[in-house]
Amino acid sequence: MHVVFGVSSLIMLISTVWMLEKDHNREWRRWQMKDRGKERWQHASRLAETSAQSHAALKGLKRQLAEASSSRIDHALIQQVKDFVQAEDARLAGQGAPPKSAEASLATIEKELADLEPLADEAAAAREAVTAAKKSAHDAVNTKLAAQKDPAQRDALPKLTQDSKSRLHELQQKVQQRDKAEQNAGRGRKQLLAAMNKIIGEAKRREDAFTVQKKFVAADHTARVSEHGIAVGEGLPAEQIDKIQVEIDSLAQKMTDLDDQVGNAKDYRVRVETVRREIEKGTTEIEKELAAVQAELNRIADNRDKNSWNVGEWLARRPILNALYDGNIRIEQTWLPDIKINYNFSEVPRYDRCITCHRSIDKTAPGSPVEPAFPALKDKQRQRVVELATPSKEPEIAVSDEGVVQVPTLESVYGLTIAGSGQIDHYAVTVQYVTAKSLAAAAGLQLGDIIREINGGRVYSNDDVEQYLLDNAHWGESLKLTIRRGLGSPYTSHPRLDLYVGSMSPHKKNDMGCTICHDGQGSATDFKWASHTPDNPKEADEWSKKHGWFDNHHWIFPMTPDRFIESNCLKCHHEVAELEPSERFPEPPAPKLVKGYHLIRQYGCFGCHDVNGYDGPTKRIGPDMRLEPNYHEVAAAVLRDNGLTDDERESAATLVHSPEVNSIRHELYQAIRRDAELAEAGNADGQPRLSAASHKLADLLKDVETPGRLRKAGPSLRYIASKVQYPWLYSWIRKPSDFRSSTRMPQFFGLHEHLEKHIKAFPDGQGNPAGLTELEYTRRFERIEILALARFLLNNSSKFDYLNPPAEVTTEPSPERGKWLFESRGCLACHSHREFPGIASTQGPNLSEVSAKFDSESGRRWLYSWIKQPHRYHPRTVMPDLYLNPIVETDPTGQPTGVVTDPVADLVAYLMGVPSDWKPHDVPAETLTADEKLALKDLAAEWLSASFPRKRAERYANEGIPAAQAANIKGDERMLVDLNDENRVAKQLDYVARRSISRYGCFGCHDVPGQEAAKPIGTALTEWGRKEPSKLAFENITKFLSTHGVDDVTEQLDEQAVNEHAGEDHASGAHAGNGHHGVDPLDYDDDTGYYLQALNGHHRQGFIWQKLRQPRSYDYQKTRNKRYDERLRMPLFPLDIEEREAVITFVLGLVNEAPAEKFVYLPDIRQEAIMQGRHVLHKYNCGGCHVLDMERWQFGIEPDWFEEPPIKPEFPFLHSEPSGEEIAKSLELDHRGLLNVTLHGMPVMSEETGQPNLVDEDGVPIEPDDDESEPFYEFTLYRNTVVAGYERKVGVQNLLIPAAHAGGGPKNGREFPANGGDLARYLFPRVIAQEHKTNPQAKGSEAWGWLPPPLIGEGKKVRTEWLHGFLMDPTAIRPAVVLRMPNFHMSSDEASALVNYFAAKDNADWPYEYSERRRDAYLTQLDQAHPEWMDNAMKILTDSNYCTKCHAVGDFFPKGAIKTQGPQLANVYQRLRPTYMRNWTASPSHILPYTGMPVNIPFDPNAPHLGGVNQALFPGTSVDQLDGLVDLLMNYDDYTARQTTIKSMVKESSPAEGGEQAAEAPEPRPDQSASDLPAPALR
Amino acid sequence: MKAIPYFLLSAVIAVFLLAEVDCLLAVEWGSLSGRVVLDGEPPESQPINPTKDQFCMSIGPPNETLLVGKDGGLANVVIYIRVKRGQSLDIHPDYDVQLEQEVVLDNKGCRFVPHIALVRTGQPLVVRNSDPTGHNTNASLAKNGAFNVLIAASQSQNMTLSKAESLPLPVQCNVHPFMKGYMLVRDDPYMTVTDETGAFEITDIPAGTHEFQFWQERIGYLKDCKYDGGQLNRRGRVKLDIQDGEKLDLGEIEVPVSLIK
Repeated sequence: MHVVFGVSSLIMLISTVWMLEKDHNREWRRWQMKDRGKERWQHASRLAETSAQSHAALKGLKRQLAEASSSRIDHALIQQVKDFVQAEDARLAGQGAPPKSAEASLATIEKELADLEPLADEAAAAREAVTAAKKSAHDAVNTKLAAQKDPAQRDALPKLTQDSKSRLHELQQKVQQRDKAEQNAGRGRKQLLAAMNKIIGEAKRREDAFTVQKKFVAADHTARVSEHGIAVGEGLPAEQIDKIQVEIDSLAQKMTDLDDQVGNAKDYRVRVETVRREIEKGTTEIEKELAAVQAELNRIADNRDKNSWNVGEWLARRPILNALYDGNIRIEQTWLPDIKINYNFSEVPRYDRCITCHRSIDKTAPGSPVEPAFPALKDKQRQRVVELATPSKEPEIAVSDEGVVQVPTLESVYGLTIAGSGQIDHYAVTVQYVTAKSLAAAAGLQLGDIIREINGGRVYSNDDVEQYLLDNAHWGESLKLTIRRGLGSPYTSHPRLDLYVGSMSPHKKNDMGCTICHDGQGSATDFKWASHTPDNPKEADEWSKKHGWFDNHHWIFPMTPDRFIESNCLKCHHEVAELEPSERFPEPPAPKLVKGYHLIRQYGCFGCHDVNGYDGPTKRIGPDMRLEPNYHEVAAAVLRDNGLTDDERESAATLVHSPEVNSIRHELYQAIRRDAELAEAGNADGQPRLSAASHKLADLLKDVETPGRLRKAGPSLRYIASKVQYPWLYSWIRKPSDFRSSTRMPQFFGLHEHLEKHIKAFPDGQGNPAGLTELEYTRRFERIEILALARFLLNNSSKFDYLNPPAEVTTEPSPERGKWLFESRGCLACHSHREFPGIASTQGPNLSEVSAKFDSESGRRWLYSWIKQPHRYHPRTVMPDLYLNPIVETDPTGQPTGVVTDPVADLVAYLMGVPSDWKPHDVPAETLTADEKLALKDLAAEWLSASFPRKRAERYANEGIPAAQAANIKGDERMLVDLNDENRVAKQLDYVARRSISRYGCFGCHDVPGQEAAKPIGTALTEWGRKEPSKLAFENITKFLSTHGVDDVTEQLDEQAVNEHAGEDHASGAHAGNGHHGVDPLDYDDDTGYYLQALNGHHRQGFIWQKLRQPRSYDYQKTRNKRYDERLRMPLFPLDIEEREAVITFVLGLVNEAPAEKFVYLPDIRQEAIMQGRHVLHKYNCGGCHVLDMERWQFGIEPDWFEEPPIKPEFPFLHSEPSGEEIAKSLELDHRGLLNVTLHGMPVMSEETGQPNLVDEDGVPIEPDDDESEPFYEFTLYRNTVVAGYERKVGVQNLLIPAAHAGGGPKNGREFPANGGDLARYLFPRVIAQEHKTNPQAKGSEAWGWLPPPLIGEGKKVRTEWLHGFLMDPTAIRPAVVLRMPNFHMSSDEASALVNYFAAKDNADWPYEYSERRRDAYLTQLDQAHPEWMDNAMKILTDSNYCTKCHAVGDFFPKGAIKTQGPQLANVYQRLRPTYMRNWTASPSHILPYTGMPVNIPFDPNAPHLGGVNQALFPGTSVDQLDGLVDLLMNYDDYTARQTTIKSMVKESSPAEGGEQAAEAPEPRPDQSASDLPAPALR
Repeated sequence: MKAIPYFLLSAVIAVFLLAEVDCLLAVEWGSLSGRVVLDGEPPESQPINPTKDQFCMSIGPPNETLLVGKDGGLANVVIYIRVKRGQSLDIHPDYDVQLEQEVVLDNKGCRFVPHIALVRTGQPLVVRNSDPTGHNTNASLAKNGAFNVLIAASQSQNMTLSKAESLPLPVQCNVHPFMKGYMLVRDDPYMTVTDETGAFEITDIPAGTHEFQFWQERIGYLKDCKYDGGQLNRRGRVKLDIQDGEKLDLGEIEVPVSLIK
């Protein structure tokens, strides 16, 4: 028993010790201690740097202080004190008080003053002696050193050595003497000041005594006053009251006297104090500065000490004891009660302990709220080589003030110091700090850089550095230093502290924690248990070796690897649009995710895969990407019904083009329902007019709760026969990229890489059950499928009425004109074309080859109709109506030449005239061969066997389904009822085509007739980011990859390549590595390797990657046991590697885990408007033409670079004054000693190339071969900005900005590109070239006015109602433009979204804006004050010198060149906001720097009437004139309405004859009587 | 020892005082002349095509972008002295009166007169319209900031410019886009435009070495043009030393036609 007890207690003891040991050595402690070491190192370095910097300052200050406190004192000051004392004594004597109090002190002062003088002079002399001695010592030392190196002077050396020694000794003595002399003088000064303080103290005492006395008297006084009050109240006798009053009066007098005494004593004291301060002035200021320097040093030292060891802490850090003490070594965590995590069926608050190891995650660089203190650099960026220049000759030895010889050091020569140890690695040779403006600073060395090699030689210690840099340096030659910069994880800071973690960011550390964005096991404090996820296999390898990392399958939320980190933004940011770059975050917050979102929109993935953002009608769970209700398709299908009434037909036709009009839809639905009820009720109530198909469609017209918003990605196929021919269509379906490599239409057929090419196992239809290989079998059927699809689409096409050229056209189509139209009328904003390589938009298809597509009369006519009115063919197209109406040609002076051209015909002529090599190839004839017929039958049987037993299916396929059974047959099989020899092939084809369409889901992207009711065919992606990997069929995929290789195959998918590939097939195991799954991720590049690893680990990231690049490969070795129709059907999308990753990033973010409501991004009303607007902007590609946001240049610049801006007189309302804060901010220097500048606008473009102009310092373009001139950009501001202390206004001058030497943009900074405006920039040089043909003098910058305008400030400019109408139905505004705003047929909601967007962006009012200038009250008041106001303004408006020179006004149109004409002014009141109109008229270039519009009404504060135009036109000041003009233009409708009379046109009935009526004649109505009064000028 | 600084100081003061009294004591003056000729057959000038205003169409303003006189003399070449940033030239007192004289930039006959206006900072500039139709004057100045003012028929506007420009800069009219002139603004009077024979002269230049700039609107800098005994550099500049009382004549400066854009 004892033994058992003994053993068990021993075991217990051992295990307890073991447990304690384990706990004590937990991993996180190690990380924290390292990080603490790093912190200590940082503080120590900063302390060293600051003390080095302040050393000189401290020394200087101390010297100054010593000098100041040993200097003479001005006699005049002392005389003043004497005068004050005497005056005070006299005053006191006058009052009979004892004077002479300050006698003794005065005597001391006098004595000390007399003594001080020689002492101070002595000190000054001693100082001069030191200066002289220092110089001679310096010379002697350097002479000696020179002699040491010169053998010729060897003899003189002993003497020189002796000399230098004695000189140094002498210097030291002089320094001692100086210090002593200064001390003596200082003592005298101190005594003098002490005597003075005595006087002051005396005065103060007197002052205080009087004050106390006064307090007593005041108390007495108060008591007496209240006594007096009581006496009066009690009605005491008058004499008693008077007595008290006398006392009160005497006390009041006493108080006044004492007040006077206090005042006098205080005055005296203050006067003396002032003198004392004057004497001390020199020293106090220096003392203050000294204290400030010292305080900063102490602060840093404290910080260092906090992170340093001491004995107590060392003890407390021992095992067990450490439980009692944590210091700053402890587990840190963020508790997030509202951000729950799903721990198997229960939602638990998160505890994120990541910051335990990532301690510097929120540290910002000194002086910046968002710049990371420890930037996380990629490995490649960390390794770098710098070039360190050496001094041109050997540095001299210096002698310090104290007479100490100073040998050159790294610091004195290079401004470089090396720390005693490294930050993380103790032995790393690390730069401690670099002095500003030193050689090391010029080389770009930084604090913390690890020096690894110098000139190729390895550096092991600090001594090595001195060896290379000082002892062995070749002066004048530079050295190459290989360094390693920055720190590795976990010592780094978050790279985007502006967005995350930081206190200024929207995702603060304590609110959000870490795992909501990063995933992983937040509670873990060990590397491996935190479920870190490597970003590539190399990292995985390294981690598992270093940290014991493993792929933990049991934690279902492993950390998101770097490449997909943006996925998690989707949890809260459901609209995605808010993740685009913005004013606040110009650096894109989630570029990959946003790219993925747009790719999915463009490729239409949502056509097959549901991405539902709602759980119920209002609850958002993620991004919503669903198809819109297909009302327009239903309406188009209903239109085919011949039974429709005229009203119904009209409703349906309207609905096709405007499906958003609910009232019409409801009407149509009700009408069809009524008819359907007739049918259901039988013949009793009458015959139904409409077909059963129409009745069925009616339900699709019902309202949908929270309808989807996205249009189908592809064009309508409803009228396809009017557009293309069979051979083209066949080729297209077979392989879209064959005709157009850039198409977004995916490839459904010919994806055969996974099929067996050798083993014959499939029936050939000729009775041979194993006559074909998988590949042959598949090809045989695919050919039939494609043929059937093409024929089906052509046969089921509706009739399309082509448009014909208008009659007024006088000329034949011209390809030359067409080419210029194609370039200039906006086509290139959305389409690309190989003849215009300078611009490549992907909104619409590339049109280089269309001549091959439309190579027929009908194709040509279709193209004509399409270009002219795209919505006629496809109501939901985003291709706009470009208003390509006939053009009446004019000569340069604007006169019609009589020629009328048809731009559409010209465009067709051009497009069809560009030759194409493309020909349909390998297209089977439309009529089938016998073999094909056999294959068709087999395919039909294959389809049928899904519904019928195999044998019967084969029979039905051949013979048709017996009519007797027809009633039971639903679906496509009905096509096969009643087959005979005539209709067999046609019916089989029809059946096969319908089945194929259903299977491949063509209707997901296209409007396919007859498929209006079809539902998306793909897997829903709403929660795909959390899909259980066990539900994904990985199965044979690694086998497939190991036998087929992992090369990206998108480029080599045509049949030929596949055939060639077939030969090498199983031999291609080149990449088959030794991994346990067949492929070793380490054999591949980081990206491929990552995905292979994910595939090996059965992670969804790997699954989707392979699915997107080889969608059918998951069928590898499975097709033999599947029916043909059961095979995988996902097509191949032409995505490149980066696009694929972007799409995956988005899909992985679909997790349906919206956190608590307060975390979901809830925009305010303006942000919401901006987001919704962005959706519409993207949809219609507004940025293809217009600049939506100007470029933003952010850079540092020398403080004296910008000159003062020119000052011009400006209207008072245009004047703006930057705030003191703005000015101060614009003058702040950063750590580089540069001003930080952010400009919005664009660089001046070359008129020849359209590229930013590189100019010399005079603004002259630099010739390409000139590499001497310093390059600059001229930058045109589009936003007033305070730069270097002055406000720079738009339209005044371009700023000259030093250019970066490579890659464009500013030096010392970066450019954020403009948002939109590609076409405007592309056309800029081209319209100038065009104009120069007729006018070589044309001003280039004005060309911006002929192009789509930048939409900067649009919200402040236009009225909301006008913009809404304009977007719905754009009208022509500016005659000078080369292209017109097209009509996108957008819905009213979309137009509103854009209106709100622009208003929200500019902080302008919406949805309404109030305009006082148009209100009656304003106008009446104006009219009373100035009856001629409007008439005078009309005089300016119509004067031939001003507005009408260029602008049309009403029925007046100016003559002359079209480029000189401005917008019609009669209706600007509808378009412009009044404030904008006033500001614009006052100074147009302040709004649009390029405008040619001059200042018409000049403002000059020194001129009579403040400048302005001729008083004969409008008497008044220039401000009045401008206001008058704006009032007139804003009320132009009202003003002109009064020029016509309606009264005379209206005939009132005349009273009937007879007195009775006359007697009954009603009273005149008030307005009638008013009309008899003189008409008011206004209203 | 102490006497020397005293002496120096008084000497410096004396020099300043004397300079105040009469600059001529301190500075000496010379002049530069020459003639710019076009070497080769000038390309035919496209006639100006007035596209607006009956008045302008009836006048038909000439094309002044490249005027070649007898013997190839090239008119409207601008010659001026370049001064480094922050430095300035001594100015001969005879030029003082110039600062009081108006420079008129006239819109006359639907062209700018003079075609190239030379303006000194601080000199009164009158932008005038002598035509019976409205013109606007749109000057793309850089250092002074751009201005674009409408001048009604027979009206004018006064202004002064305060900063020197480093180039002649275009002046245009947006109402009549076929009009174009130039304006050069300098701090000093040492600038000129060649006359119809191509000849130019700048007088009373302070003696010393100066960098002269040669520029023409169709050519830009007169790149690498040769004259007797020298050559302009790639930016049409040449450094010349002008001695006191010297009348430096560069002779003929030959401009190859290939430079014309």
